[in-house]
Amino acid sequence: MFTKILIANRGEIAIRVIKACRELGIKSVAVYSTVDRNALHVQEADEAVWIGEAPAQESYLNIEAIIGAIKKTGANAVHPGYGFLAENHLFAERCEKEGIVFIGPDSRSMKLVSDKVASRQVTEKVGIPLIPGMKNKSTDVGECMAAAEQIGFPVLLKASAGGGGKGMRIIKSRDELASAVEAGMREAKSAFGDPSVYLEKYIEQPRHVEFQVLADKYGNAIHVFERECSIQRRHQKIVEESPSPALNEDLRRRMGETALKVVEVSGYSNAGTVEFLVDKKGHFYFLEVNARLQVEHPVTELVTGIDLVHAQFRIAAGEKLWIKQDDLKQRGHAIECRIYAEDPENGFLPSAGNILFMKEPTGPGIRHDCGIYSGYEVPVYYDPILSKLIAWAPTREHAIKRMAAALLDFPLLGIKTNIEFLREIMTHPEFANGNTFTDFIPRNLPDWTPARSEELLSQAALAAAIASDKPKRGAFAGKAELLSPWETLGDWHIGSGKG
Amino acid sequence: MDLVFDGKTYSVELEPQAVSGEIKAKVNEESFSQSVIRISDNTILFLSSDKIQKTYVASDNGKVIAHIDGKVVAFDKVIEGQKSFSREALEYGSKDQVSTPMPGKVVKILVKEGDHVTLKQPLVIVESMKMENELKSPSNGVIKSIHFAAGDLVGTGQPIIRIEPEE
Repeated sequence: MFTKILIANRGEIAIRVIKACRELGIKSVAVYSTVDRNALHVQEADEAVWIGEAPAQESYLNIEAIIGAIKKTGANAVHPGYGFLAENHLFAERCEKEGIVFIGPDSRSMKLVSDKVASRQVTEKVGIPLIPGMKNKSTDVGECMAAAEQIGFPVLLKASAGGGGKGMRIIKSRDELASAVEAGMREAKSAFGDPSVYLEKYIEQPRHVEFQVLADKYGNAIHVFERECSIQRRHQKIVEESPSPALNEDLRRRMGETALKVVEVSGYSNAGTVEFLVDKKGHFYFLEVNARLQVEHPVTELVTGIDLVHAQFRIAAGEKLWIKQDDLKQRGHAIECRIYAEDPENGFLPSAGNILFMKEPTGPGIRHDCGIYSGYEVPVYYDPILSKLIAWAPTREHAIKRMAAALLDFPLLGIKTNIEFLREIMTHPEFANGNTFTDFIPRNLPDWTPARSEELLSQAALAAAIASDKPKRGAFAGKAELLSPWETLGDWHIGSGKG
Repeated sequence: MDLVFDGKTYSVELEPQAVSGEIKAKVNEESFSQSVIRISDNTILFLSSDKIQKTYVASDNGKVIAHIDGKVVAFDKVIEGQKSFSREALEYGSKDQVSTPMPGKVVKILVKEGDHVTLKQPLVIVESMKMENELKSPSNGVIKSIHFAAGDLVGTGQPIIRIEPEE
């Protein structure tokens, strides 16, 4: 096993990996940009190395600086987290050349699966079901137009190098195509450095269901069941759960087998995720492989009991897979809500600023993977994810109740967040019924804004005034401010014999 | 103390009564009488016969934020002799201009001076936190002036486009 791991990331995922290191007695190294000097991942790690200025290009995407930090600290492996360099095959390749273990797939299979077009070609050959789409990626509006006419509108535009919904757009008619392709290419270039896009048939009201896989370096692979991630806002997942309310045993078995076949033909190793769309009739289509640890990995950990980060370390260190498919079971139900710094009252625009006060939710079955703290200044430079709240319970119904209760008692004051919006989803009858399709939000909560009754506003104003009032000892103080014996007893000396 | 939320002022008068923890207060002339326990700087309990209302609060220059029943209300504090400055400084949400609530880069201006625009028509694309956001027209009107070009960095609340609203 490794003795020191550098985590080439920030925020909650860096902390997640640092904690895994600590559990296994491995030293952890954090990297940080200038604005992240006070970030929580720096506080949690054993060592920390400055890698550049705030813009990600100069720090968290700066391969030279990160390789330099690995060499300087003598780390023998690097964990990329998600986003940033996690699916950059050039970084993985560079690590291989430098003799540093990259905790993830090798650069060759990563390159294959990260390229959506190349991976389509490979998977199509072995009969894996795919959505009709362009055969090649493109940077040409005319070419996209011709392809869209052939596929038939509506079509979905995706960034070839991308993930996480960046650059993705639904194009309903020819009139919208040119401007959508241009905007998609700009966003793809800015997010991934590659403007290439491609188009595919848009399937209406599908579910997004993905399978977690673990594969060792010797051709052994298992799947660790599914996660449903249909609740999305502008193609960005915000709620994920496992098991999926849409799968029965037969469909789960067939999709799991298909996921393993994708892993096999792409020669993939380490933890990965095979994404599918499932339509209303239960047909499923392979979308892509995410060659990284997913944001939503905790729901899988909670229902299977497998620590996916530990598993990543062990596989990367050369261990043969130690779990058999038949030994795995899904136990209970887990739901994750992503807590974002964004303003629901202003079209969910990202929000940055100072966190004045936060109280983390706790309770039976509650896990909070958190990258922030009271007093932390959320910078404008990076993804607006702040933390992830995960609830586990024996049943789905119970897990929803736990999540809703945890979201209710989760003050995160000073910046705008989506916490109240997430609670609206948790308490929505269509969510309770398992009617979770990718259009859940536009269908059920279009133009949602938080409701504020006059009664609530008066009570809030009263609380705000009390809080702003200079506290005078004794004045409207209440029990909690009564003096304690230690303040009133006078001049005592514990253990003092001299008198 | 005057607190402003969503353009509406809440005038709070506190009459603390020592020792008991009872407070009497008026919010916009409506009288309140409640038992209060101040747990910490950020936590206040309101007690009534049938309910304990746990409330979280936090404040920062000119802002007081309260969290009740999972709902967050951020007030602007009005300090005597000063208008509600934080709103004025931002000028966000006015009918005659478009600005961004956080710093970013102008990606594309979608209109030109003199264009007639309609409510909610996208006017400019700004990239912040790696996402492209369309800023939409706050009113029907004519584009009066454009203050930034594609590629420019724009700060919080800076007017990007001014509009002459028309009815």
